[in-house]
Order: sequence, then structure tokens, then C-alpha cells
Amino acid sequence: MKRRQFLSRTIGASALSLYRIPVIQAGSNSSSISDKIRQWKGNPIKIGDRKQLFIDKKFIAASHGVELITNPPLSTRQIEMPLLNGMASSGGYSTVLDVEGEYWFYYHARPEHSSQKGHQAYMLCLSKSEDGIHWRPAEVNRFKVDGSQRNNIVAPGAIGTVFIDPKKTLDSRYWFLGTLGEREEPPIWEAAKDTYYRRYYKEGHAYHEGGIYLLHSTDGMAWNRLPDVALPLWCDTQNQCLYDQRIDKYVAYLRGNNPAGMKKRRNVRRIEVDRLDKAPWPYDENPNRKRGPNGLFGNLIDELPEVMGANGLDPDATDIYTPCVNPYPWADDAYFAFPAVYRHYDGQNSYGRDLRGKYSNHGPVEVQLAVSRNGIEFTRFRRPYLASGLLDEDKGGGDVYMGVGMIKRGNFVYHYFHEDTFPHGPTTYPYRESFSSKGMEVAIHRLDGFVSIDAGPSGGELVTPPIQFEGNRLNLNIDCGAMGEAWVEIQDAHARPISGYSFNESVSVDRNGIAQEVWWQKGPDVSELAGQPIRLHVKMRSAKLFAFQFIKS
Amino acid sequence: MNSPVKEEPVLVAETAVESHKIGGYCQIVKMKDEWWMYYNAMPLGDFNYDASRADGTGYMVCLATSKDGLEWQRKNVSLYPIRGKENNVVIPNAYGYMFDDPKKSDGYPYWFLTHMQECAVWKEADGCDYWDGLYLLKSKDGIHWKRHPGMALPFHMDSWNQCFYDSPLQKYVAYVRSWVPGKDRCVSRLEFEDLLSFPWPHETYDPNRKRVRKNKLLDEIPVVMQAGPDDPPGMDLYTSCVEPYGSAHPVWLAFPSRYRHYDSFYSFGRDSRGKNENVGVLDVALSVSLDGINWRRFSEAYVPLGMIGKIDAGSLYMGMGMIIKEDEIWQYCGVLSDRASYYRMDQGVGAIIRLVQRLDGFVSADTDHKGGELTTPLLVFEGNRLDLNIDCGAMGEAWVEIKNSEGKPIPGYSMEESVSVDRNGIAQKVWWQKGPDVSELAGQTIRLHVKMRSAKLYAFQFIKS
Repeated sequence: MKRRQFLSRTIGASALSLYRIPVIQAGSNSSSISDKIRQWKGNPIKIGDRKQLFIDKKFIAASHGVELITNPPLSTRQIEMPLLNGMASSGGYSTVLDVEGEYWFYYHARPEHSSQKGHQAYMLCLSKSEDGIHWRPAEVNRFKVDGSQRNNIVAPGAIGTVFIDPKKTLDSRYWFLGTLGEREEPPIWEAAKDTYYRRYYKEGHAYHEGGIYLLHSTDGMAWNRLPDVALPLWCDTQNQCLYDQRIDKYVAYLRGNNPAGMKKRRNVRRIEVDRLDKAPWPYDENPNRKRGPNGLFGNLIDELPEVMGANGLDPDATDIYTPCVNPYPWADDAYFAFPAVYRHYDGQNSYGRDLRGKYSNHGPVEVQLAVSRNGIEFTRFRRPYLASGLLDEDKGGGDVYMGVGMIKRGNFVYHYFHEDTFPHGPTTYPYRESFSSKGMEVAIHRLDGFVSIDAGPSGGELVTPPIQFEGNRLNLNIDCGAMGEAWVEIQDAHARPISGYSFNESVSVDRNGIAQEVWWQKGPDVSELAGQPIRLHVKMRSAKLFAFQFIKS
Repeated sequence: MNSPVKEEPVLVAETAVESHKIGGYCQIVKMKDEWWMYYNAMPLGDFNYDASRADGTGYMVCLATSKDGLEWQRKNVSLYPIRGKENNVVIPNAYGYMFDDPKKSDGYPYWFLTHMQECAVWKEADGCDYWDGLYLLKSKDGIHWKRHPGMALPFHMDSWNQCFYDSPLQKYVAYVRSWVPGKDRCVSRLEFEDLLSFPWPHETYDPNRKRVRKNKLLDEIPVVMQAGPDDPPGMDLYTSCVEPYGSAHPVWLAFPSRYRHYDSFYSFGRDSRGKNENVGVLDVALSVSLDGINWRRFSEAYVPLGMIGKIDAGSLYMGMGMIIKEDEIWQYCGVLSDRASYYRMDQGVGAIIRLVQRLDGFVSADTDHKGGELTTPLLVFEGNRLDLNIDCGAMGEAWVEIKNSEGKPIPGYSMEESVSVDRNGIAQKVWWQKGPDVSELAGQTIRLHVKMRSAKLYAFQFIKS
């Protein structure tokens, strides 16, 4: 198709379809959609000069020949996380923070020699870096392991997520939410006294109980415990809390469970609170559930609303294992979650091929991408964001768990994940000792690049709903590669091209850039349209469009 | 189609020979226990974009070596001092393609198909003109090269042409630049039995046909790759980069650079598009073929451009040769941040980067979470096990059924009796409830019927375990 032919298709004449995820169906209801757009009444979306992402249908009123696509990281790279004084790597739960330009990385290690079983052997450690690749242990030196106190352990027996509290509750900038377990052997931590990661007890039947705790710190290294349990419910693995600036609340994402007997077991549940230090947090207590001897409940089931769970689009026996939710501070109203999704083998029979079905709670885990505008309703893409590596390699091929946190450097976002050679399962596997852990890796991503609206070589187009902007230039984060181009028309709210900004007057954007200025024959200035309700109509060929932003140049 | 991962630059412009630029074309060959890379570089000098600088400062063919494919060292061969300095130039004022000749024509194992241009530093090129045609150089060690008398092809074929011996075909095959009216740059293919029987076969030159340049190759040699209706306007194919894949190579891969030029474009002041002729952007595509003649080119970029401002943002040219490293394939690619440097004497631009691909990973048959299936044509196999190179991730599975020639499932190998393959492996055993043994079906005519969910299937192989 020649450029002129491509551009000559206008919204009035073209067969625009309703936008659907994930498949665009071209040609359906074209006239009614056109009429609907033309007869629009209402209020435009006020976007100001903030960046807007194409992660869902929010900015797509109509489209044809384009599709929402998730994009894997540009590259991954193994990193060496320091381990000191008889410590071994332990698990894939981690958090990265940007502290005044320095990378802070919280991760877990465990003593090489310990009779302490389970998660109470996990030691929360801290390392720091200037470049996100090379790390040095923080000089914490508080807990003695293997006869030495020179190590970077900050919280023995703690599994969870560290986050920054901009309100500095209790004068503490750093907070931690997670499970905590008092240890029976050194290093003993006074702050963990009388806490229970998961305590089993019998009252006729076997039960367990546990809780979610909060720690706080002024420097991120010396931690104190908030005396009261934040939630008297047991939530396994990496739970997290964050300050959500959009709603000015603290939000926690916690491991939830479906009732026993369901094939899809684990899910993610959410709570939001105004204050960190007013514990316990509010939850919908089930009067029929009994507390354990320490006043705590067993699994979190339906005391909080579910926000992420497996459904009919997933294989049987699939769970959402960890949430890893990140508000995206570099654009408007965007949350990215990287849940670990776990397909368990329970009940399978491989007829001697492999170990599937021989153990309970055994199976592979991958990281998927879920997007949200409010941190509550998530759309999860089934294409893996980080798939497990190859079997039979020295390292990799088993579980993959994403850590919490993203750091922006230039045009790239850094975040971290952990990969094992073995699938999820009990630590007592007879073969597990022969496997190694690939350890931590960094995933480097294009800024705003997690999801894009893509057009192939045959071309595609989209029209936004009416928007109202501030500024005098329009920038696109777009990758047209070598073969692609994109043209932008500005329309009024009723989809009529505005003179000077029509397709026939537009100058194409090409190549690959984070902030590519949009031009028309008269130039790039759009200041005369600021404050008016307008629509963007974008035509593209062989292009990936990630975001748009009106700016003041 | 699956793109490779771009890894680190292995060579960047550092030396006097590379003082203008490095890269564009490169190729690797295995020489005893190490890898050799022939790559192009150009020193700073008076502007002239082709290999015709009479002082010997046009494109240089340079040599670097490596034990592991990661660390490359320039090999100082001290043959052609440039401005008084020793260097790693093995062929001055040229660019071309090195190949080994199993027939050892004229007693030489190594040959080099190239343009040649008379220059002050290399007597072998006396009387040669870059625009005349293609020549052959010969060498016993890959470092010292002599011109073989005569001209292989008396057409002007710009940029990178290639030639090699196709063992199954038992002929030499060359892929060369042709220029078809309305298509601009294309790739033509010829085959012949005698490397030194010049000129290589082609249709008779017709002086009455309109050509961009007097002796430009049009279609006197059959065209096998060209721009098509799915390509953008103003795009042509710059290089061919054809590789046989696999030891018996029933599969051919090609990595042509696609060149979208800006000629006649006007950006109304936004950028420099259209300000110079013959400027544009290039990426690398992937084409596949079963015979080296009929090609299918995928529309997406195999090696896409990087972000504006990065070293790979302007022009990409795939290097030739592959290193198979366990489960990975390593290739190399010459990159430039801006093709406008073609016309400017920018200092020290370009790089050669490493690409990593999964073994057999160039193309896969994929299904998403909703599932899909395929059935092969009729097959006859040898062996007792069936392996799949497949990536099911954590969520996916694949089941294999073996059908007879009438399309009916063979008892014991039906879908109902199949044990799924899952996870991600290069050689994953296919299994049925009775086990993995398929030896009783060897030699029979069968079909494979594969059902998958959330999976990428790259290859299958019957083996003798």
C-alpha cells in the first residue's frame, strides 16, 4: 500500500471496530461506531501534560488493525548478590528501592548450618549499588552468624517487602510488611519475640495460625517492630505494602487462599488503610472461624477482597503465587504487577516420564504481567513476561519470581527477578540437592515499554476518546523500527479533522524513540488546541506505540 | 519468527584503521581451534563512500580472532601499513566474502569474492576498478591473499556479495546484488560447477537496456529475493546473508538487510529525512527456504533498530557465520547509529555486536493459552525416540499423537494415551502411557499430530537412544 492510499482512509470512511482485548475485529459495526464517535457528548479526559500509556482500552475509542501486545524485557543479566559469613542464597523474594539515586536491594539469605526449618531461617539482608549491576553488602553488623557479626542481615526470620513511607509514620521512612517468626537458635532477634511465621496446633484436627507484621526503620538497616499484629491472618511467601500516592492510602497485597479442595488455590487479596500504625487493620472477620492459641487465624480466605486470581483462561490447578504490584510513577494512572503464576502437578501421572504428580505442591512457576488503572482491577496477560529457562542447563529452567520495585535510569527501567533450576516444591525432594539456583538477575526494560499497541506491515489505526491537554508539543514513545511510520491527526471531539493537523498535513514519525516529537507541515506547535476537547487519530505501519504526552517545550 | 537477544558489542572503533567507522559487513569462520572474524573498517580521510580511494584508505578488510566468541583480539598482520602504522588489514580497499573451497581449486583452500580497486598500497589490485565487476582472491592461510586472474562476473554489483560451495548440491552458489527496475536493490542467485571458469554463468548483457549505471546487473542472473507488496514504499534488499542451517542443511536461512530510503521525502523541518540521496534506515529481516531459491521473508524485523541515540539506531547488517554454543547460536551484526554517517566523515562510529538465539529458535509454531494443533505431512523416520525442541513455559503443555498414513491414530500413540510434554527444553522426550519407544513405527509412513497450549514448538527429531 502506498503512503497516499494508507493516509486516505479516514475515520468516516474506514471500517473501525470496537476495541477488544486481545483481538481486534475489523469491520464490524463500522457505521454505528462512527456515529457514536461523532455524536459524542460528555466530558473529555483531562490529561494535562502527564504521560499516558497504552496498556488497555482507556485511550482507544475505536481501532482497526492494531493489537495490545506485552513486551518482554530488552535484556536480562545475572547479578552477584553478596553473601557473607556462612550464608547461603535463599529464595526469590526481593525488593529494590531507589534511595537518593542509590540502588538498595533487600533479599533473603539463610545460614548454611541451621536446624531452624522453613521460612524462619530466612534472613532479610541489604546490599547497595551505584549501577544496579555491581553490589556491595550494607554494613549492618548487628546479628552474629557463624561466629561473626560482620554481615548485612537486617531482620532475621522476616519475609516480606520493604517500602518507603513518604509520610514518615513514627518518624520512620522505611517500613516492612510481611511475616515474622521468632527464631529458636542464633541469631535471635528481640523484635521478633512471640511472633509466629506459622504455628501448628491441634484441637481435634490439625490447624495452623499466623499473622502479618509491620517493621519500621529510620535508616533501612535497624528495624523495630510495631507491637500489634497488622492482620491476624496467615499469608504465606512475599506479601507487600506500598504507599499509593494516587489515593493517598497505604495498600497491601496479600496471599489469599480459596477454600480447601479447589484446584485453583492461591490468589491475591488487597487492603487499603489510612494509617500504618493503627493495628490491626480492618478486615471482614468470619465469626465462624476460630482463633488459635495465640489469637491468630489460619489462611486468609475471604476476609479481604480478591484482586488477582486464576480463572478459566488459565490451566487447571493454577495459582497466583506472589503479587509484585508496582504503581508506575512515570505515567498517569498505571500499575504494573508481575505475579508469579504457579501450575501445580498434583494429581498428574506421567507414566514414568518424570516426577510430575509424585509430590504434592510441586510444579513450575513463571512471571506474567498484569496491568491496572487503579490497583484493584487487573488485566493479566497470559503470555509469560519472564518464562523459565531451559531444562538441562546448569542453571535456570525452574521457578521464576519477580521482585518488588522498579528503578528508572535514563530511558530504561531496571527490576529484578530470581530463577531456580527446580520447580516449586517441598525442600525434601530427593533430587533437589543436585540442583542449583541461578540466583538474582536484572531485567532491563524500555521506559513505558511493558505493553504497546502494535500495527503490522499492513497498517492499523486508533482514535482516542476526547481528551483535554496542556502544553505545546505532542511526544510519542514509539518504536517504528526501520520499516515503520506513524501519522497523527488531531480531531475535534466529534472526530472532524482540525485544519492544520489533518493526516494530509501530518509529517510521519519513524525510527525508535522514547519521546519523538509529532509534526505537521506547519510545525510541531499545538498550543492553540490546549484546553479544547480533541481526539488523536493515529495511523501506523510496522510500529509499536507505547505512550503519548503533551509537554511544554 | 523469534528475534535474537542483542548482547554486548564485541568490537567498537578504536584503531587508526577504524578511525572513521567499523562494521557494516563482518563474517566469522572457524580456523583450527579459534574463530576468525573478517570485518570492514574505514580510516578517516577525504570523503568517498565506496572502496575507491586510491591512497588505500577506503573500506579495509580487517581480521580479529577469538577463542570463545566473546573476547576478540585484532590480529596484527603487518601487511598494509596505513599512515605508517601496522595493523590488522588483510585486504585493502575492498569488501567481500571469504569462503573455504573443499575442492581446493587451483590448490587454494580459501577464497574471497570481492570488488577490487587499484590503490597505492596493494599491487594485486593494479588495473582493477571497483565498478567493473567481481574478482576472486585466493589464500593458503586466510591472511595473505592473491588475486586470481580474470573477472568472475563482469557486472557492477555494489556492497556485499557472497559465494560458497554447497556440498549437497555439489556446486558453487553465489548470491549477488542485482538492480531490478521498479524494485531497486534485489538479490540474484547463480550456481556453477567450476569456480574458476570465468565468467560465471549469466544471460548475455544487453547494452540497450536502461540501467542506473552502464554495467549494473539487472536480471541477467535470476532474482531470488526482492521487495514485495507487504513492504513499505521505497524499500529494497541491501544484502543477502544466506546461511545453510544444520549439518545436512535442508534448511536455508537468510538475513537480508532491508533498506527503507528517504529519497524524495520532505519532513517540513522536523529532521534530515530526504536531505541527502541514498540515506535511510536498515534493519535485518529473516527469510527461510528449503532450496535456497524460493524464499519466504517474515515481515517483522529479525534484528530491529535500537533507540535513537544508541549505537544500533540507524543501520544494521547481519554478519555471516554462526557459533553453536551448547543450546545457543551466536551471530554477529554490524551496527551504525546513523546512516547519514555514510556521507559524513564522523569519527569512530559503528560497532559489531553479538546476537544470541536459541538453538533452532529462529522460527516456531506457537499457540497461546487457548491452544492449537498441527498435523505434519507424511513422514518416514529412523530411530526409537521422538524429541521436541519446545518451550511450554510454566503454563503450557503439548501432546503428540502418531497417525498412520490413512490419518488414523495408531493404538498406543493416540492423543488419549499421550503424556504431555511441559516446561522448556531443547530435546524433550515425547512419551505415551506405554513409554517413549517408537521403534516399531520406524520405516513406516506416519504423521505427527501435535496439540499444544501456551507453547512454542521449534523442531522435532527422531533419534536412536
